Amino acid sequence: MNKRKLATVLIAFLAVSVWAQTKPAQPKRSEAVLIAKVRIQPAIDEGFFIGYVKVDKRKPPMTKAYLELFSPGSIMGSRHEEIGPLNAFGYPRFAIPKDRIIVLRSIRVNILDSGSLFFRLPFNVSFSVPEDSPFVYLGTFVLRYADEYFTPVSFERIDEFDEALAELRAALGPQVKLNRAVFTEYQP
Amino acid sequence: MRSKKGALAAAILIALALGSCVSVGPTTLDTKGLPGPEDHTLAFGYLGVHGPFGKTAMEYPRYIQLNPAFPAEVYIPFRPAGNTGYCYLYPQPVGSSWKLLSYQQTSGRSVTYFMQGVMGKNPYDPRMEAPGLLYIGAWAYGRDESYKGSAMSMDAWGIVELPDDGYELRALEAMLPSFKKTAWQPLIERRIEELKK
Repeated sequence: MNKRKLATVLIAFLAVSVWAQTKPAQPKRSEAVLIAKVRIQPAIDEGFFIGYVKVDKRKPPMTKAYLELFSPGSIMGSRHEEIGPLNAFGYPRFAIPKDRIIVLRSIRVNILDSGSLFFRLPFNVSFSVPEDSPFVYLGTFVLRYADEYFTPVSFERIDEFDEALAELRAALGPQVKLNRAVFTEYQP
Repeated sequence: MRSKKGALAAAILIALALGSCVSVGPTTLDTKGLPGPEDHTLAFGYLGVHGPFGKTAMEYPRYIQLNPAFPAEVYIPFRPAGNTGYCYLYPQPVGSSWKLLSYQQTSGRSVTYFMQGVMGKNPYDPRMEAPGLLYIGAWAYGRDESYKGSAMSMDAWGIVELPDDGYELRALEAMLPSFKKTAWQPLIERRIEELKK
């Protein structure tokens, strides 16, 4: 009986930890919700890359973006937090550090969620989580590339604050407050 | 009887252990149905690991094909000279684009995987633009002496270009026996003659 309980708790824990935040929800008091969207133009030819990945018919793989984050005061290394599918707002969470400063190392895109078919867009910027709200809008990031090697042409951060706020308020009510992240270059 | 069995098991274990030491990729090329130099490119060069313990081959460099007009395939280069950096990729159609996706390093029982990702064309990533031979250069994983940052930084390590030291000639000489009696043989021999001048 005890073993079974333990197994249930473990499975529940695993299920929660792999749950991606594709819909906004109230975070725990100690967590920040970082809102971001990644666009890639032209669209990745997933029909071609599917030849490289194992396909589970019940759960076809999707291209996903991740934030590589760490807190400078912590001894822990970087963590990858899932933004989720491209072209949609994602709501990854991160524990708020004591000094409320988080470093965004890079954005990583995994084609068809494969660990080898990835690319990494370096940032190295820090931002702080304001006291008044755990919701922080990082931006909408648009990558344009030229050829089959994904040679970058431009990488921009554009502002879709109003859309992000509208989606957030539609889910959590009109009292929700959202802040824009102010990026400063991070120097270790 | 028992000791014979034991000896056999030991021999197999030793063979496996030794085998894994020098296993860095395929070595022998099957020339049956080998595509010819009229519409295919034979990329070759040197991919090694140069460090304090000597010069060896880069282990299992995986090359991925990235042009959506061609099949999705991954190839590991052939090693015509055993555990050294000399290598060549199976002849590939003109138009296909290849990128070094990953390689690995074995040290004792631990294996480190180096993931390169799919973004960016490095000089050792061949794009098959013309039929015939294509030299990708001589490259090795090691310390980049030109790196200006902190000596402790991991950024100082990576795949660096080696000074031209006859790598192309020796690579061609190593792979020539594999391409005997194929349409590639005269091309390789001609290039060897040119380089020897």
